[in-house]
This record gives sequence, C-alpha cells and structure tokens, in this order.
Amino acid sequence: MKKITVVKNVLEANEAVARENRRRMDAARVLAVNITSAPGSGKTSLLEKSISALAPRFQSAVIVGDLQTTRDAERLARLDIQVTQINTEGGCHLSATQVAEALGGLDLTGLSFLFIENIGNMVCPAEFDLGEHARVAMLSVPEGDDKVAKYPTLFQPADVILLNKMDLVGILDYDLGRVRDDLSRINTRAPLIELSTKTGRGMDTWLQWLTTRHGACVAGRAKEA
Amino acid sequence: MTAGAMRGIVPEALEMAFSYAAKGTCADGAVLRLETVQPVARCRQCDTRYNPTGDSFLCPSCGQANAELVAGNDIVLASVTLEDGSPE
Repeated sequence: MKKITVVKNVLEANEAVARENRRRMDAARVLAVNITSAPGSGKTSLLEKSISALAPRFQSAVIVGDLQTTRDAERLARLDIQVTQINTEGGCHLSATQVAEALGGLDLTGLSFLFIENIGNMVCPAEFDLGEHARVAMLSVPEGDDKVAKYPTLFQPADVILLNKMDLVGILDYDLGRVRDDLSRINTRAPLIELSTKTGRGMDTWLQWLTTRHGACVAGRAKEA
Repeated sequence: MTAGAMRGIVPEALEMAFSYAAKGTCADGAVLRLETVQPVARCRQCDTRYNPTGDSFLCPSCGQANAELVAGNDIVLASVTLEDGSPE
C-alpha cells in the first residue's frame, strides 16, 4: 500500500478563471455584478429598469444565462447595449469559464457595469465565483417570506439583498419581519433594499448602491481576488 | 476527499458518480472515501473564528452575522492510496 498526499482543490479550475475574469474587469474599470435569484423574481425587469436609469451617465453590458431560449437577451438588446446570451442547455448555474468566453466577445471599453444575470436557481449559482466584484441576492414577495432561512447559502455571501415586487406585499400577507429576522442571523452586512421594478419604489436606493460601489471599484478598492 | 459541509455535496451521489467515472480506467473498483469538513467562519467585524450552523451565522463574540467562510466550502482531493503493484 502506498499513500500519496495530493491536497488539490477540485474547484481550483473555476477559481483560477474567476480570478482572471476579475483581473480583466479591474483593468477595464468595470464593476461586475452577479445577480442570483429564483426564476421569475424579476432579474431581467430589474436590469431593464436599472440600465435605462444609469444610461445617461454609465454604460452597461449584460451576460445573461438561461437553460434555453434567447428571450431575456432579446428584451435587454432593445436597450441598445451589448448583450451576450449563454445557453447552458440544462446546466443549473453559470461557471467562470462560461463568463470568460462571453467576456471574449464583449468590448469593455467605456463600460462601467457588467451585469451577469445568473440562472434562476437559489442553490447552485451560490456555489460558483464568476469573477464578479459584487453579488446580488434577489427575492420577490410572491415566493414567500421563508426563502432567506430556506436558502442561506444564497443570502449569506451576498453584498446586497433586493426584495422585489413590494407592490404585492399587502395583497399576499407577506411577513417582512420574518425576512428581516432571518437575515439578522444569516447576513447583517448586506443592506436589504425593498423595491418594485413595476412602481419604481426603492430603485433610487438600489441605483445609489450600484454607483457607490462602482466609485469604489474605480478607486481601486474593488473586492480582492 | 474532503468536502465542506456548506458546499452542497451529497456523498451518495458523488460516490456513485465516481464509481461510474472510474469504470474502465485504472481506478476501476477504487473506493472513494469522503470526509465532511465542518464550516469555520471568520467574523469581518471582530475577527473571531467560529463554527456557524446551517441556519445561523451569528458571531458568538459580537452578535453580528458578517461572516466570511474560511473552511467548509471546499472540495479537496486529499490523498490517493495505491495498492501494491498499481502503476504509480
């Protein structure tokens, strides 16, 4: 019998590519934002509204992941921005390699924000670093007020938490206290922003968070690899 | 192999996938030993190291949930044991 010590991190391949993605975006002074949530919580609507509102001052591009179809990319392309669709054909999350390939097709010159719309899934996207500078975890009122406690791995590492579809909060007897209480045990670092992409509520706070974070990135204070 | 408890690894699924992947290779019939590593968090607020649970990342010192996972989030191939006569 012979025992050989290896100690090889199986996920190192992804992490090495993620570091390279981050370095490329650091060099281009682009803030990369990875948006994670369940399907249907409003990621694409959030991007449509955010990118339009930022447009007078900041240019954005989007890498959008879906199992199938180019519907989200078609919606976002109407904003006259660079959009790259990744079809994972069944894959339940984006990987750093897929983002690296998509980055190869984007012109980063003059860009301020690169939004990565991850696959709608509250489990697997939490596990893979894509090379982003900031991670957004989004939930929406119709999903129920128990999701933070049920999917802590999505919310624990998030830099900001967005609660969308607040226009439905009264109709659905949603318990906001429960969400805040769960977050008080999972993540007290990330601000919780209550918003509605439909009514525009909370969008100013979210856009302010983004531009502050972008300012920090340009000042060279973006998250270390 | 060691797998972090926060990594979402299902041991039975990994062991089954390994046995299929190994078929027809020099690792055919090899046994995958998987150990679970308990999570360790570092509090960004006060630098305390502690063991979070699945539903609470509260720091025992300062009471904040401002944790960076420093262990329990990796999958590591720790070692390979070869039987006599196997190619090295």
